[in-house]
Amino acid sequence: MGFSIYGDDDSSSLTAAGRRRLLKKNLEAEVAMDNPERPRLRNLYREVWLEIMAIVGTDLLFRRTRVQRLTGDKQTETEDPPFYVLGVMEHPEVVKLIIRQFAVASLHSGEIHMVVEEPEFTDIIENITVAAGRNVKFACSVKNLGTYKVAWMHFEQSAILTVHNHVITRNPRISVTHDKHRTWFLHISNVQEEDKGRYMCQINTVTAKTQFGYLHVVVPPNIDDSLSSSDVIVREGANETLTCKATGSPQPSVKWKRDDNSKITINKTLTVSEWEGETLELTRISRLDMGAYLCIASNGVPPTVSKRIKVSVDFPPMLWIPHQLVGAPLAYSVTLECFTEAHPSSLNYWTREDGQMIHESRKYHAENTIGTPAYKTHMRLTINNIQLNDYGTYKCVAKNPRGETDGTIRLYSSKYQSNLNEIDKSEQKSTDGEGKSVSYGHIVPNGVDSSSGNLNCQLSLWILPIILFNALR
Amino acid sequence: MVKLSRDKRAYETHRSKDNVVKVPSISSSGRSSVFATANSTSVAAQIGGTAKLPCIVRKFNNGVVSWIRKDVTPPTILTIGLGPYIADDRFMVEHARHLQNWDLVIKHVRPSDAGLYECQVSTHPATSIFIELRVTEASAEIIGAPDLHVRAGSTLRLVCTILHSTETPLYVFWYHDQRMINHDAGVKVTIDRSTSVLQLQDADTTHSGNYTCDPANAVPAYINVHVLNATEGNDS
Repeated sequence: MGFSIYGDDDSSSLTAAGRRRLLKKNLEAEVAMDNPERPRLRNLYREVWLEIMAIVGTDLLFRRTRVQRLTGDKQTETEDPPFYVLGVMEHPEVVKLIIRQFAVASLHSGEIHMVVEEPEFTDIIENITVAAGRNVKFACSVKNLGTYKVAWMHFEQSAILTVHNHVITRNPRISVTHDKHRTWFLHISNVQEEDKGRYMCQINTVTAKTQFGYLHVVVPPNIDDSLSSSDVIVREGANETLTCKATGSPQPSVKWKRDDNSKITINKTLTVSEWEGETLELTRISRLDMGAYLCIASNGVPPTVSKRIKVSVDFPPMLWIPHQLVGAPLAYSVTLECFTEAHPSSLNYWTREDGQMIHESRKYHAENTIGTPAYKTHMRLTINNIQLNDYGTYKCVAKNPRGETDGTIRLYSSKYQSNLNEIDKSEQKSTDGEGKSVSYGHIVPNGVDSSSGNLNCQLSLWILPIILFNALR
Repeated sequence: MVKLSRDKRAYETHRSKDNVVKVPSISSSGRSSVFATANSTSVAAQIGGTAKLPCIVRKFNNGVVSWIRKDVTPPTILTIGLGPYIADDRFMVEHARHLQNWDLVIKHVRPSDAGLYECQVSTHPATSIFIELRVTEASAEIIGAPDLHVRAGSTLRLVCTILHSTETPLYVFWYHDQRMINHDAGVKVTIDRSTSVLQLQDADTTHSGNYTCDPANAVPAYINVHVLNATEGNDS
């Protein structure tokens, strides 16, 4: 606690200010002598206080005529000039005065008002927002602390943390420092989410003085694997909901994207490039929805996290034959083709009409090429040196755990000697009246890309060759 | 394009680094391994008297026991360890090692002291119990008030009991009108716990008047004594 002394007088050789300075200097000197530390306050004895207070009221007035000298038991009123104060008290209302006669004559007259100053806060406590794991420091600034003490407390936990420069709590992450008793710092290291809340700085005056500062703790987002979806396998046509549960402070938002940045099909009418929300509902899943999906959790606190969820769409094989009717002359080579789509990947092979599997040999060479996406396969069977018994029906078969399918290609004898030994699938052949055309390769308009998903177009093309074949007969 | 840490944290579970062992706080049933005093204990003290709020702490582990006034906003720290914290010197801690007690003592109790107090041990997180302080006003009561008639020559006996008191009074003063009764001839005052009896042999009319029983720290009580002459009251 600090004190200030000022005098006010009318009949002295010194000016009022001069007297003030002199008085203060002497007072400090006296106190310093008595007590090796900086001017400190002593305890007050109630009896003396009462006596003095009875005289002076709330301010302490040392009127020359009224102040009583306290020496031993005898109390005598005196007209001797003034007394000076040896010590002051720790308590703002209680004052102990050890008074001795003051030697400076010029201070004979006047009243000395003594005002006791209580400690006060000189600044507010700044709120802090910090990420978990970091260190923080709260500052509480005071003046006139004197022998009063500053304590730090956590309001919500109702826990006393520090008092003066002692740490009370057993929490090892708490420590306290101060800057010349003016600013008291509460240090919290490795901040945890439980540390958040209000921090109280309190001074132990009779009516305690308190200030608050708030600590916000932010936690970077984290995806809870146990509550989130993992890789799924779905049947084509079914519905599937993908979930990503994220934690963090503030609560993170979740958005979904596809790995390859293609659009997400929500329903028949809606496709989006990204979707917001904890759950992503995919209805009537098609093979086009197959792939990896990313759920991304973010809350403004780095790092942002994501989870990759692979969605596999299973469906039974589908077959599509560009040329169901193929003609070739004897001794020539010809290649038959089938296009399949299946997931998981199908077992693809060729047979003759009797179902006998065709094996690799000098006569037969089968090749399967995987397309894009990977559920597409291009099957090719090359038949070398065609003989009479090679004409007939060939089947391409595709089987997977979801089902199987097959298709037939009919190889017939074409009289025409053509240098064709392969049917060019992308070439448009017209029907020549002379029947010169070797094949009815009415092509799939868009090559083998079935991503347009339009099977109707292809179906009509299959019918066409059959009709023409019949016409030929 | 959003920056994604596909590889980094996609499948990591995030666990807190320091596994703090939580010391359970007192449940409302009051059972605890830390405190021997039950939670929500209530004590009473009279105005002007001394209040003692109990707190016996068994398991300790080098912590600090503190007292906090809880029913005010913001809460006020009263004592820390053995010493007071608040500058009000009415508060102190009474501690005896073999008793393991850390009682809060409040001297010169005021009505404003009534409320909720927390005895806290500095574990992390903190463990505490709550003690309620009720403040009563002691008041004296004289049996037979407001008026008492006695016959001259008989023994005047005034019994003064103190109600709502929590401690034996330091003194009980008796006054006859304005004058304190002090070792007067024929007067005997006995004190027994919270009762004071004034006996006066051989009453006469000079003994009539207003008698006051004034115990320390209590509201005084009065009684009007009328000593009747032998002639009076004969015709009733």
